[in-house]
Amino acid sequence: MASLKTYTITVNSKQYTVSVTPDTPLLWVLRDHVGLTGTKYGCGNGDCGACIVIIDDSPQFSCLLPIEQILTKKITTIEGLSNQQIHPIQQAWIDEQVSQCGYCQPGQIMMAASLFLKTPNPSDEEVINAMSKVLCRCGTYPRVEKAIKKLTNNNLLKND
Amino acid sequence: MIKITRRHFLKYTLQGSTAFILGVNLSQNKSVYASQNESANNFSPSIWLKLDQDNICTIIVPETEMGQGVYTGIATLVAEELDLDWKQVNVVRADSSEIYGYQLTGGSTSIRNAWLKFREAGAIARKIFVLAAAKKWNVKPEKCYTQSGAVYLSGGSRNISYAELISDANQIEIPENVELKDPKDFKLIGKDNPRLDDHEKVTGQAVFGIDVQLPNLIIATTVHAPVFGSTINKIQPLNNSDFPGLIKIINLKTLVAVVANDFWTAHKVAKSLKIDWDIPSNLSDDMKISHALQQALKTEGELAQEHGEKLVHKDNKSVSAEYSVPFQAHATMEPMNCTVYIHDGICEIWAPTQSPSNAKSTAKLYFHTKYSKMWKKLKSIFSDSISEDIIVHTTYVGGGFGRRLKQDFVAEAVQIALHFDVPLKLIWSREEDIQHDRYRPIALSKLEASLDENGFPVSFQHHIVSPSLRDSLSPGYINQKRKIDSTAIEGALRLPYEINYHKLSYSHISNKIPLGYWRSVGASINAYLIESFIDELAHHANKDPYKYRATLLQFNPRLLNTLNTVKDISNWKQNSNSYYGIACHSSYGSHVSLVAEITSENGIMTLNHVYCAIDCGMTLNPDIIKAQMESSIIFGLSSLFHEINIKDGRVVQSNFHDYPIIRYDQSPNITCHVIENTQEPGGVGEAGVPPTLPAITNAIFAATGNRIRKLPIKSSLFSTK
Repeated sequence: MASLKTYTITVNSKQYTVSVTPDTPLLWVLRDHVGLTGTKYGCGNGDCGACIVIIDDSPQFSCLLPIEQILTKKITTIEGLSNQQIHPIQQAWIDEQVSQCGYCQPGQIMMAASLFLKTPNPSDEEVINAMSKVLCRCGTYPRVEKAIKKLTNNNLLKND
Repeated sequence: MIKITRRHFLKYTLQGSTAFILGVNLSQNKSVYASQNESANNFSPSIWLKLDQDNICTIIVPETEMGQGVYTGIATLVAEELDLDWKQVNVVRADSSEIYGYQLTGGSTSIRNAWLKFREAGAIARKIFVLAAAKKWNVKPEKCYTQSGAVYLSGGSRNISYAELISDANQIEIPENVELKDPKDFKLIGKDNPRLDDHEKVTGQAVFGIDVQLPNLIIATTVHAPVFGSTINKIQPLNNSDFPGLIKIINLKTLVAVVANDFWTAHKVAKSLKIDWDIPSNLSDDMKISHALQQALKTEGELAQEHGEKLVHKDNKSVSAEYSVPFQAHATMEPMNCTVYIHDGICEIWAPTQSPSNAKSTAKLYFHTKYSKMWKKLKSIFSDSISEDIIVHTTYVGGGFGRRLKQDFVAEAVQIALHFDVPLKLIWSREEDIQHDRYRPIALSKLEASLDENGFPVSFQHHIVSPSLRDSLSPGYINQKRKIDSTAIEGALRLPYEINYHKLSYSHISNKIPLGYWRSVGASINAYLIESFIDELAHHANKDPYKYRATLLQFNPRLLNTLNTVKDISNWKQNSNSYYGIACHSSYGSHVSLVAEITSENGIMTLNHVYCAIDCGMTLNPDIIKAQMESSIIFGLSSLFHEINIKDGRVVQSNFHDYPIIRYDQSPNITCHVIENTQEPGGVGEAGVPPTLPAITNAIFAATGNRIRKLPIKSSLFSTK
């Protein structure tokens, strides 16, 4: 018999205590219990990437991660990407006017952010591998590409 | 309906004296130059802008922002005429109050409808500020001009911000006519003003329907009858203690609603439920539908259009071909959802909808049935004010593409929320969203042409067969008197080409698969097959497909201009390693030509580049027009590879693994050229979709010799990046 358990997780450097069943994915903990709705639900299967968050330093589909697996981890969501000022990736997204409906953009941006955490100059192949995990029905891909190229060429994220 | 006459208007503004609120006569679309004798009573109620003490102008937009940039577009129209700087502009979405009129965002109509209406709103406000300043300074209004949200006295000796003029402006009567700017004086229209919604969208702050949060919110999800037309026989009982957080399971005859503390719990229960369905007999499937289409194609069909004279000589070459397209789902990234809170005798709704007006009338069907007695009594006491007992707040929409014109998700959310006195958010799972969409119809067409001695068509006959979208939405639409679905012949009714004889006929087949509007509707089908068939004719005539079209478009200068432009920017056939396909189509008041450029190696093709030229008349925001073309091309390309299949009366596909929309690594380079002219603006949200598929399939023919007459094709024929 499943039962509710109390957990404390750290999201964007802030602690939250929630009462959920152990199998509850991080996505729904964030959205329905913590109240951070920037991370989106798209498929529930890890197919669309709308739910991508950064866990420690790597991108993860939050729809596939039961809360029990991330209790000691550092979780960053779109809301935590920019603390005081807008993050260079978000600025590049604005400069290239990437967003259309905007629903997938938190996933796109978090994926790009995790890519630049690994390397300030990702290769074309690295960019393609990473960004192909995030679906966009509006077809903003050409502008996602431009925004990432701009960040790469200008070394905007070198010391980040 | 609440009428705001001029008297009401003045009273209204005096009450809220900290802000200048403007209502003007707009809904009748009367000329701004109309005579001044018109009675004030003719003013229709509308409230479109508010200027506050910080000199920020909030523009109230009665259209849904679903990515097409309509908030930015409509704000530009007001800001242009009111001479605001872009940083002084703010936007809010109009709620469902009847003063805003009927609200439906679809058919690429927003900017075409708003073009004069919102410029008028800005121009009238500007004139009032000029009159107020002139009065204050005791000068003639002609001595004043405006810029950057302020009125200036000629010569530069004085200026005053609009904000400082608010109380004076509220004393000025609304002028009955104003002049709009000469386009040559535009400062914002025609410029790439950045989107007003982008900051919210990149920081995760934008509130989509699925993001609505309210105190004590509970979450519902639904299990629709998998087989269309089924009803619930029995829901097997669950052990509720297995699901802490489960609140209620509700039988709604054709669907089950599961209500819980969070979506995860509701979703888990929904997946665990054992439901016995009463399933109708004679279930539909692809084979049966295909057979019905084929049978109907053998009939004469209903004549939709016939013009010109059929002058076919016996030595004319005749060409014919059959084309078919599958059902398609919208697959918006944000699944269907709706939040409803019934409190204090009102039904308050937050919905990602393309039509708050239709959402409201849908909600009324359920809300007023339940509360009809109370509602009638309240109405008798409070009269008009209670007419707004259903309020729809339209949120940002995570992709529309026509799906959210149908308010089924609103109907369900209201029915479920009627069981509770706390707010309830209904969220469909992705599986429910794919399996219970309103699909783009499947269709089969036969095209026949006779070619003259030069290879040009002298006759063009087209027979379309499909289930009727409009009959699916409004059963009985197809009847003894009306046998043609206007949406099924969209894009085929008038050919852009100069051809002596044109005949179009239509046959509908009956089918229970729910249908709906899908980005560019009938044109998404008909442009594909007409432009493919024209390519076939050019091939039979042994002529270059660009030149062939150009010859036939001699009397269609705007579309021809886009064709010539795209030929130039694509360096048509200049690269000997590449294969080129071209297509053109006019829809929604705009004209678009595309070239697809493909390379092929070891039997695997690469779609390198798609070039686009659009003439949508006067341009409001060229960068957003380009974005919409990129979007349309990728949306169109996606439909080359995916389809919805029917088996045992239900949809086969269920998520993105089997309904795979285009990914980053499949997306081609896109170059778009926006042609400037002074014609009225056309729509841009859809017009790029129709020519996309044929440009690509014509390039596939150039590369492989295979004419793609049946969609979809395998995505493995193409390489990824």
